[in-house]
Amino acid sequence: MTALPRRIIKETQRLMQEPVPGISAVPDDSNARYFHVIVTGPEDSPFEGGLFKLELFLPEDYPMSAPKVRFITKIYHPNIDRLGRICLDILKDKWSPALQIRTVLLSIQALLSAPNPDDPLANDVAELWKVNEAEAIRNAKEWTRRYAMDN
Amino acid sequence: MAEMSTDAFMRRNYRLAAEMYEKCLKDSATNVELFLGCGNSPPRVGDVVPQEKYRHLASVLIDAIIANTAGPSSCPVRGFTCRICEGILLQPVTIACGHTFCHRCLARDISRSCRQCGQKIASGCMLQTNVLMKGLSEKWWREEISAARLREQGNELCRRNEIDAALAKYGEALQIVPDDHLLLSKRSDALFRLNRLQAALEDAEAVVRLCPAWGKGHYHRGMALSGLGRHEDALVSFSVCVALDHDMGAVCHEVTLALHHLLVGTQAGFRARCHSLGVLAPYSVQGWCPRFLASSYPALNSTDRGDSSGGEEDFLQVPQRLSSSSLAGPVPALVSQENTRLHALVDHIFQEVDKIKRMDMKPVDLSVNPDLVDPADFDCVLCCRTLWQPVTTPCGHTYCWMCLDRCLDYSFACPLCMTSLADYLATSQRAVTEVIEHSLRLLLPAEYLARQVTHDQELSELVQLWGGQVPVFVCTTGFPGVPCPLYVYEPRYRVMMRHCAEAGTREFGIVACLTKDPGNQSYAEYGTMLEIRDWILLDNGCSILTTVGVRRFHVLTRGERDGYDTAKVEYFRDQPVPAEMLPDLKELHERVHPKAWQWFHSLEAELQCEIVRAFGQMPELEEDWPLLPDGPAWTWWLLAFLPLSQELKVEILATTSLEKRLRAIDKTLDHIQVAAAARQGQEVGVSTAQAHHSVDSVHQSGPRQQTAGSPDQQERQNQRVATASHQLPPHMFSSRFLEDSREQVGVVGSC
Repeated sequence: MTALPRRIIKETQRLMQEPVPGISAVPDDSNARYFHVIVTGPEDSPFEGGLFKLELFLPEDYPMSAPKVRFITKIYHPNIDRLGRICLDILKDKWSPALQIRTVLLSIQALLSAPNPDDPLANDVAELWKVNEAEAIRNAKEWTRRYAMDN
Repeated sequence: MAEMSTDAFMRRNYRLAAEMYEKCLKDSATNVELFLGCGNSPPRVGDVVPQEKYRHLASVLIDAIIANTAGPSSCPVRGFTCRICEGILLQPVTIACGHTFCHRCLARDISRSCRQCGQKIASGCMLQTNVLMKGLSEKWWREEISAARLREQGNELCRRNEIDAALAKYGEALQIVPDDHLLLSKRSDALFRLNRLQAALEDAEAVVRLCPAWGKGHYHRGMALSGLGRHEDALVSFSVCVALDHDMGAVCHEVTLALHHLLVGTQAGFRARCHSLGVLAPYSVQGWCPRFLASSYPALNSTDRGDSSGGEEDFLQVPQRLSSSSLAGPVPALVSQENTRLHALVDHIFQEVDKIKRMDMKPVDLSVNPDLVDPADFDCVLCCRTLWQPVTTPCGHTYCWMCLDRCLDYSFACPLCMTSLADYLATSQRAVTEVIEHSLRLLLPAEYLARQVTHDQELSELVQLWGGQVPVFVCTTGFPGVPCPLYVYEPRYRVMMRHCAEAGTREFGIVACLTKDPGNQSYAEYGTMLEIRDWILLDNGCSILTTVGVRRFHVLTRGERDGYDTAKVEYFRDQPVPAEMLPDLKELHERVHPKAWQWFHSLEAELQCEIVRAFGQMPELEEDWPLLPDGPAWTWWLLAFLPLSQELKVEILATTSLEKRLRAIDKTLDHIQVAAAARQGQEVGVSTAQAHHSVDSVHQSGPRQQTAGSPDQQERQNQRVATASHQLPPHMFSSRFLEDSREQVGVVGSC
């Protein structure tokens, strides 16, 4: 195992010293490339009031390839599937090495504010979101209450 | 010739003298005597001498000065300034050669080549602002930048001939930065154009005081002096200007004018004035002399040019005094005395030029307030460390050279703005951004040094990596002594190759890939070290390697670095053959070797050709082959293209017994012949798959071949290989690149 790159050290330091409002990311004690993330549900979204756990892993060739991020807390969202996998362009083909952990997490937070049912990962959710948005939002609120508010 | 001219001059045959002097100057090296003679003769001919006559003389003087100040243009340039306008960088743009200029200056420069190094600027050059440098300038030189903006506005007004408005702008700018030599010289020029010569001279003098080594300052001083009629001083200034800046084209004309004024203007002026006064000049070819007139009309001395401060009149005064006493005196004395003044002037010029040579030409950088220097400003956005070998992309973003290289392995997009850098990569023109590098060295020496240490450490780590671990290219089986051409296109292997280059080593390991799933790749336990013989980097960042196997290794532990595999390995060789076994081994060898030879030569000529092209000729049998660490070379050469599965090849590679290797070859050859015999009379083409199956089934039944891959696995293997090599330009490479050599059986079968 090679030494932790300066880039990861700096990013971690900054995440600790100047945390992004509504986001906490803490490296695992045994693996500095693995982060325990908590994102608060954005205001005025069906996820408001929820605390969503995610895991974020920086692969060996980070920042050349994107971090691997997954929701651990169940969430009702057209771009997040049952396994917590996220459909977000910057985590895939639009990744740029100039992006950082914090920008990725901010983008995920923004995705919670603005679901995009036209580019779905969870098809049933997206479908409902398109045909009956009110019900979809009700579901999302319900899931948030049930899974993201227990503690 | 020179003597003859002097002779003619003394005989007062000035016309002849002028012609001869001129010819001398053309033919021989410059010589003050010739120069003076040539300069002094024409006016004495008495005609109104056209300026043209002096152009040659001026260029002689300029050449002499240039020859006297060795080296090319020695004009010093201050750090952090634009080479074109010599001012602070306004909207800095960095071009491919790493030099930085103002956007306006580059856009207006029609030469389309770098002013600093001459490198051509690509026609598609986008001229995007260097974001980092722009930010730094605006932070460090807020006042200078606003003054420079005012100066630009002033220059624009000047171009539109609104000189008064321009003067106001320059004045405003000078309030911010009173000691800006560039602004002062611009204002001097503007004042000159308004004919406010004394004020122009004052500004020019200030410029020369501030920046004695700046040619243009002396030029403006010369212009002002010339306007004021002080041609002698003007000539000195122009000469110094030439000495400082050999490329000042405009100076030649000014020197011509000054010489003309000095040597002729006076006489012509006199004559004109004489005419206007209604006095006919007592003129003769042999005897006309202004001193005569001057003594007759002393008042003319001071009225020749309104505000003249006596520069040119001095030329007259010497002979004037002379004329009153000894007009008819001996000619040589007259000539020498008459030249005294001109001699003195030329001496003065060369003294000034000499001073320039001794001057400290070290450019003085724009000063930076240390409080405004923040090391974080120089952090590479990719590695979060101080920029090392900073390069600026055409879109204006600066990264460490190595960081950018790594990004380009993965994507052609600029990490910050996503602009495609494919063309930038293809031109392979890249250089360190000089101004950033300069800033780092100058302003953050400690950080610069620390970064250098880290960089060196990383390099030595790479080398150490070679001591304990080797980079591993997971692809196919290589064999000792056999060439293995590779086409490297995967990002991780591009990094690996660069690391090989940076670490100064030319070796890496190659092992066969044993699984199809790229996410869960596993590679063989045995591999071969390859030595890089040739490396061609293609436009798209991919590369073609010519390598040859050097020795076999066994993987002990596996690691990873920057996305590619590494391994701790142990090298191994064949077991020495015990003496009692030698006769049997030799017998076996004598049977298999000719068989292999025959089989190879029974192949289609075209196929043989292709094999030779990829793997070379069949190696000659070494005399001491039983003693070699890897046995006879021909066995590996043959194994490279024998139709065996990847797994079998690995196993043969792993064996330390030459006997086993020979038996495996023997068996395979037998099988191929049996299969060929069975096919005889049938259709010539046999499907590759069939050939593979039958070959492998034989090996599976063989006593030593326990782990032969199933046909299914081999098929998958084939597919993988096809995917791996699909990017190979077919016109450039044979299908042998990266391939599983079993593919060649397909070719064999169909032949």
